[in-house]
Amino acid sequence: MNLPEFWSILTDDGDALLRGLQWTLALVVAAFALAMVIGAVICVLRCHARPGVRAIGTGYVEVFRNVPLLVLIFAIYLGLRHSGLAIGSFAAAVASLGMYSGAYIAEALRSGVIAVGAAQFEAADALGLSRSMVWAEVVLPQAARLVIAPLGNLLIGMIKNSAIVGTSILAVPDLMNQARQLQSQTFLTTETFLWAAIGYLLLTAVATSGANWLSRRFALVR
Amino acid sequence: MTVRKWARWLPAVALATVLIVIGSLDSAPTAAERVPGVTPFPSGTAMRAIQDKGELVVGIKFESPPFGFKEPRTGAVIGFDADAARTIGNALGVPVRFVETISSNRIPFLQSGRVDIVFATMTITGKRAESVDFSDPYYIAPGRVLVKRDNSVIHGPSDLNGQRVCITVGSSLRAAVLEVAPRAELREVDGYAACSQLLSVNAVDAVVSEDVSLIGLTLQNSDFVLVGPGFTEEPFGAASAKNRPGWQAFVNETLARMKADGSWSRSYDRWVGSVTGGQAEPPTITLAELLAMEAAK
Amino acid sequence: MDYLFGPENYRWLLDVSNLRFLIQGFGINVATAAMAAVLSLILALPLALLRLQRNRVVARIAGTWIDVWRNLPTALVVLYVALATPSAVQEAVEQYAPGWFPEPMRSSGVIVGVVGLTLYYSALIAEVYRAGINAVPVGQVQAATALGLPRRDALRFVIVPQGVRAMTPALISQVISLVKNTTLISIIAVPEALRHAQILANSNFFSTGPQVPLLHVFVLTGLLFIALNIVLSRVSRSFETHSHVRSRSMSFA
Repeated sequence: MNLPEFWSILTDDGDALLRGLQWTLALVVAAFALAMVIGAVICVLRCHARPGVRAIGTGYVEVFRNVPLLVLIFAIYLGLRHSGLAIGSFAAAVASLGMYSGAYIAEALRSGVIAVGAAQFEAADALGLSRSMVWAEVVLPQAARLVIAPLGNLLIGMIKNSAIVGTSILAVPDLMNQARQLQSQTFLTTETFLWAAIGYLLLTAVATSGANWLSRRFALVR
Repeated sequence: MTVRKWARWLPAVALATVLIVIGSLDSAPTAAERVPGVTPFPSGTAMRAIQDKGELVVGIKFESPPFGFKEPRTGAVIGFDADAARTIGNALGVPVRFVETISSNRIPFLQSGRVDIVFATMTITGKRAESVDFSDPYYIAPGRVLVKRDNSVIHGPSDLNGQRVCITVGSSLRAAVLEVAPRAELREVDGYAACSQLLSVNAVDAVVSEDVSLIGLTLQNSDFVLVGPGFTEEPFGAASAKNRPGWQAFVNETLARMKADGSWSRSYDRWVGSVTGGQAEPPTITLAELLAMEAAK
Repeated sequence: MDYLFGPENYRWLLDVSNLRFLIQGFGINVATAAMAAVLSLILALPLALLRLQRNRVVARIAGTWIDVWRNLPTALVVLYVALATPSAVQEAVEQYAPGWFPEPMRSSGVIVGVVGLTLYYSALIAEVYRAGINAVPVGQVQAATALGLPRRDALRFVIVPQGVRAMTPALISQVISLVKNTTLISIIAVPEALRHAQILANSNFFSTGPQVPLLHVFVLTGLLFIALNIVLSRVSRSFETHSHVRSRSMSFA
């Protein structure tokens, strides 16, 4: 590990790494938003009265929790493009990461929903709220507040998984991708990867403190 | 229904059994080739050292048809590079053991002695010649451009500026493309299948590679077509570590014999001609001339 | 659409040697996962115990080590170990790998991949152990002390076994994550499942036999992983007692 070269990376290629960090941030934010939506939908499906609907939800979770992300990226990017949808690299990355994490978020929300309990459902029903309002206005918000800590963990997991996108065929210039390119040009393996590591640790630290703050502010404890 | 405790392992065992049974079906074992009656070389030479070792270890690509390819069904290593390597092995009278090399470890493997010689679509450049010894060129690969039939923008290499171009990681054509079209958007992926996929879904506009690989792709997909002239000529050479007594001369002699006695043409027809439908003469340029030409540029 | 569902794109499935080639690649993933899992499960225990030491300095150091590795992307760790290991070491590994190791596993890529994965997952699993040990009811600890067991024996015979056993579903969930992350070694040119899938697609060049479309073979590879992981999670579920909500297996990746 060469200290002067370590610092020189900052001056020579700092902007490339910074751009990578920005791309990673964009990817994670977009994918997290998508994943929350998917997670909520699948969670509702999983708790439906009809067993057929429940099976769809369970099927989604089983597939997307057990498939490796690299394979999923390939399948989604090429599969969608072959069926005519001209999805771009970034969109495919967001879709893959979002669908993948959505399965985990669905499970987290589901445990929150279980903790919210049937009483809330019945009370909302008794008040005459429609099914969708029961879910959207009463149950899911409480469930989400119950599971802020696990959701925070999932966000950190997403930050880590976003690095896999940088190693796939998708042309997304995220932090991992930039680090690899830099390494193949300069051969300063330890130095470049150390910077990438710092970047990711920064992101996870921000995510952790964000989750902690949210937890203190909004979390319900039952 | 009472389920015994050990029953919970049943799905795992069943899956494992199925996988192991299919996975261990025997592929045809590759026979070691030994040519009888080859006289031992003088001791002290690199050739004798290999004869004493009993095998020639060759670095080759396993994923670059038609030059170096490990057939998934049989495990045999085939291709033009493989034929050339076996010629060297036959001249020594020892069997050849192929080791997979990719672009990034070709030179390190030679320098550490892990392989004796590399036949891996390796373009001769002055820079590389500083680290390894090259043979005289044994194949000249013209670089071509592949596009979809309905592409009206790209008619040749000079139209590649601003276009998305797919090449394989470590391809020797990378520099050549950027020379001809400095503003081309390069996308490097792992192998022809990936480039072919990207082109067929319009994720890239063109694929650049040696003509024979591209023609192979057109045979699989009638939507693809080659455009424009060959814009570069990549001379492939066999690389070896430096300072091996007598080795370079021996390799060059053997390759020259291969070109002269018709086996070069036979290999060419089998691996390249069958795809391109064309013919070619073995390259006659020597290493020295090639490096001089490059230095003069 | 034709490409996706046209029957001529599925004919390659009928050739058993294609399937065999894919499964052999998959076997490398399984073997890598097994080695990394065993090593991680073993090494994580002392790591967790170090974290729980009374000595604050030691606990801090162990805690920092765990937190760093836990928060780094797996891809980064695996790739770094693969690229940074000097080729001399890699060759030594290849030369001295035991003879009874099957041929494809003797590649340095596999060993390096195992090292990288172990570095990462031993930290994650150490946290699981720690959670499990902390969750052992206080009554057990008190009973152990009341019986006069020194702390070391209390840990060894009472606390750790219960803690680990309780966390088995979470541990298996980490193993599932590990299995999925073995696909990362395809980047360092190890001949595992994804690589074999690409090779099969590349073999179209010689046009012997039916065409193997890249997308389809990748999807089949994905199905292999899904099948294995579903089996693992079934096993995990059978370890869950009713007091554990499914949310236990929510550890991510």
